[in-house]
Amino acid sequence: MKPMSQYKILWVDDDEKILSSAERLFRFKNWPILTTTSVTQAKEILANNEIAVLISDQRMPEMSGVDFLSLCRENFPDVTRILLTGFLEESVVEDSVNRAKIFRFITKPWIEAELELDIVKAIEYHEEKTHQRRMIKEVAEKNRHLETLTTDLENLVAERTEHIEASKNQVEVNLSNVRKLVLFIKELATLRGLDELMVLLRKEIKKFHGVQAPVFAYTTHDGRKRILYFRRSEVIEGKLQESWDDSGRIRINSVGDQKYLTQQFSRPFSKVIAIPLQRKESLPSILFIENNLSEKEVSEFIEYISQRIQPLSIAIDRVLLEYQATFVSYQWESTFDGIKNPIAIVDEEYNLLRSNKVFSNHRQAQNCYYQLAKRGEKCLGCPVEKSIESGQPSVSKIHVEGKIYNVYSYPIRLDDQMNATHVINYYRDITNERNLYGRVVQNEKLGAIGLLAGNIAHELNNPLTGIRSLSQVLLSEQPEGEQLTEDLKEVEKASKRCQDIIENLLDFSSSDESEQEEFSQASINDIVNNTLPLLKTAMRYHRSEIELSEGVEVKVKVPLLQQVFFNLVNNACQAMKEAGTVRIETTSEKEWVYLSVSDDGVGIPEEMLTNIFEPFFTTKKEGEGTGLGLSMSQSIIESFGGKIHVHSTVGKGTTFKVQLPNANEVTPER
Amino acid sequence: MKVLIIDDEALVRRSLARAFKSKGHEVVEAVDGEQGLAKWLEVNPDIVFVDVLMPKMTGPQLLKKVNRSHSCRVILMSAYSGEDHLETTDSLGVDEFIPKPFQDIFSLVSKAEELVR
Repeated sequence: MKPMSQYKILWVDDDEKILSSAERLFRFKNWPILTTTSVTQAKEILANNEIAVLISDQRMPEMSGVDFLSLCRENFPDVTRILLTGFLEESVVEDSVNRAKIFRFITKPWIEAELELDIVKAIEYHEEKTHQRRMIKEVAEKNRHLETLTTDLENLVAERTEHIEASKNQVEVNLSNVRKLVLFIKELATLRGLDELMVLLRKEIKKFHGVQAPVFAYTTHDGRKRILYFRRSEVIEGKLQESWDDSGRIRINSVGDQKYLTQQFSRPFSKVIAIPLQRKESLPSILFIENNLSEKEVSEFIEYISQRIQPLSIAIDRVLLEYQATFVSYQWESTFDGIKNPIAIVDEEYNLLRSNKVFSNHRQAQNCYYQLAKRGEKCLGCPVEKSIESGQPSVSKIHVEGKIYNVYSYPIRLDDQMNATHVINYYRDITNERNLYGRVVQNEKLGAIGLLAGNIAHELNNPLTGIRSLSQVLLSEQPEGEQLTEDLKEVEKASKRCQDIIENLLDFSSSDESEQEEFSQASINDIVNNTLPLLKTAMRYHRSEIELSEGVEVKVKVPLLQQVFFNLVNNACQAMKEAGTVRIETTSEKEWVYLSVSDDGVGIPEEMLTNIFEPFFTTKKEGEGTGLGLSMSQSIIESFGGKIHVHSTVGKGTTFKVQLPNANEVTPER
Repeated sequence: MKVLIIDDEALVRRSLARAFKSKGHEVVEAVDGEQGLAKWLEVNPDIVFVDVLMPKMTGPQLLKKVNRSHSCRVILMSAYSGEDHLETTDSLGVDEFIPKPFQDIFSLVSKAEELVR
C-alpha cells in the first residue's frame, strides 16, 4: 500500500464547522483532504479526482447522505463510503447497508483516534477494492487477448486443414507413383536376362496409350553394339553395324533417330523418343520409344521414364555383367571339360574343390582319391603334399585300377594366405606309353642281350669247339683205362656242358623274335632244366629244392615261358637277403599244370600285392629292376591261357604259382 | 686226301688236323682268309674247311674269289647257326654246312671222306 498521503479523502457536510475541524485534524496528519458543503460540487470533485474515501453527512439540504452514497456507489464504486451521522435510526442503517453499501458509520461527535483508525481501514479497503478491480480488469483484458489468439488460431487451423486436405491427395498420388517405382525396381532386381527386361519394360510403359514396344540398343563390354526389339510378343536380338547418336540427351522426335531406326528396320519411324541410359564405364546404351503421344503426354511420359532410367541402367549393367561372368565361367568349364585328361583342384586335405568331367562325371565323394581310385586313403606317390609344402609344381606317378597316371601338381593360392592352399592336379594316363616303352625297353634289353649272347657264343664256341674236338682226338689216340684217358673224358664232358649252356643262352636271348614264334608242345620240366644253368649265378648263395612231376606238358612259346621262369627264380633269389631256399615244383591236376617258385624271403605286404603286376611297379633299387618282370610275365602267361597266382606272408616268404593248360588234356578253350 | 683247314682259331685247326692226320690224310692249315686263298691255290686240296668269320677275309668272300675245280669239296663252319647260312651254302656252292661247336669230330672226318670219295 502506498503512504497515506497519496490517498485523497473527500468530506461532504453542510456544516462548515465540522468540515474545518476535519480539515484541521487531517492536515495535522498530513493526509490530503477535500471538503465541500455541496453535493453537486462533491460529484464534480469525484469526477475529476481520484478519491479513495468519501465521507458524507446524513442530513444535508440537497439530499440525504444515504442517497448520495448510493448514487456514488453506482458511479464511483471504488470509493470507500463512510456515513457521518448524529444518531442512528434503524431505517437509515438498513438503507445505508443495503443500498449504499457503506463501509462504516461515524457518529457525531467523533473520537479522533477512532476516526483515524476508520479512515486508515477505509483506505485499506479502497486499496483492496482497487487492486481487485485492477486484477479483474487485467484478467478481463487477458481473456480478451486470449480470445483473440484463439480465434486467430482457429482460423489458422482451418486454413491449414484445408491445405492439408488438398496436399493429401497429391501425396497419395506421389506415394502410389513411388510404390510403382519401387515395384519396378524390385522386378528389375530379379531379372535374369535382357529379354525379360524388354518384356518388363514394355509392361511398364503400357499405361501410356499410344506408346509402342521399346527398342533397346546397347554396347557390350567388348565394345560390340547389339539391339533388342519385339516382333509381336517375341524378343529378337541382333547385331548393329552402325552406332546411334550417343550424345547422352533425351531427344524427342529427332530426325537423326528417325533416320537411324528407319535404316535399321527398313520401315518408316515418325515420332520417336530417344532415352539414353546411364551405364557404367559410359557404355552407350539407348531406349527408343516409338509413339503417337500428345505434347502433354510426352512430358508426362518423359517424367515417368526419367525416374526409371537409373534403376534400368543399373539392372542392364548387372544382367550384362552376369552374362559376361556366366560366359567366362562357361568358357573355363568348357575348357576344362574339353581336356580329355582328368583335372582336379584339391586342398591339402585332398578334398575336391572342382574337377572336370573326365575326373568325375558323377560326384560321389569328397576326396580325390576316392573319386578317382575308390581308395580310402591317398594314392601311393601322390605329389599333392610335396607341392603344397614346397609351393613348387611336382610330378609323380600313381597307379589307379591297372592304369598309370603321371600326376602334375601345380600349387595355387585361393585365398589371401601366403602359402599355397590348393593344387591343380593334372592326370596324364601314361599306361599305354609306359607299356609300350616297357616293351621297347624289354625288347631293347633282350635285343642287346641277344646280340651280346650271340657274339659271346661265337667267341666261346670257337675255342670250345677246339677244346672238345681236340679232347676227342686225344681220347681216340689214348688206350682205355689210363689216367690221361679219364682226364680227357672230364675235359670233353666239361666242354660239352659249356656248349649246352651257350646253346640255352642263345635260345633264351632269341625271344625278341618270339612274336613270330610258333606254339609248341613242351615239357615244363625240360624248360626248367634248360633254364636252371642260366640261373646258377643268381642262386649261388641259396639252396634249391627241385621237385618235378612226370608228364607236365604245355603248349607254349618255349623261350617266353623260359623267360617267365627265369624272372620268377631271379625275383625269389632277390627276395632273400640272407641265404635261403628256392623251391621249384611242377605238378599237374587234370586240365591244369602248375609251376611254382617259392622263397623264404621277406614276403610282400598285403596292400602291395595288387600292385606287383602293374608295369614299372618295383621295390628294387634304380638299375636293379625295371618293374617290368612280373607284368611281362603275367601278360605272357595270360597269352598262354594261364594265370599267375601269388601267395605271400611277410617275413615268411612268397610263392608264385604259374597255372597253365595241360597239353595232354583236351580243354574246352583249346 | 689233301685237306685244307682255314680258321683263325688255333684249337679248331689243331683238332681237325690231328683228327685227319690220325686217319692218314695230308693236312694244310691257314690262319686267315688271305692265307687260306694262297694255300688253296698252292696245294690244290681235295677238301677245304672254311670258317665264316675270320680276320682280313671272311669265308664267303674267300669262296667268291677262289676259282676252284669241281673235284674240290668245301665245308663251311660257323659258330652262328641259322637259316642265313643254309642259304649261303647253296649260293656259294658249299657242299656242307657244319655248325660249331662240333658234336663229334670223328663223324666230321667220316663225312669229309664220304664227300671226297
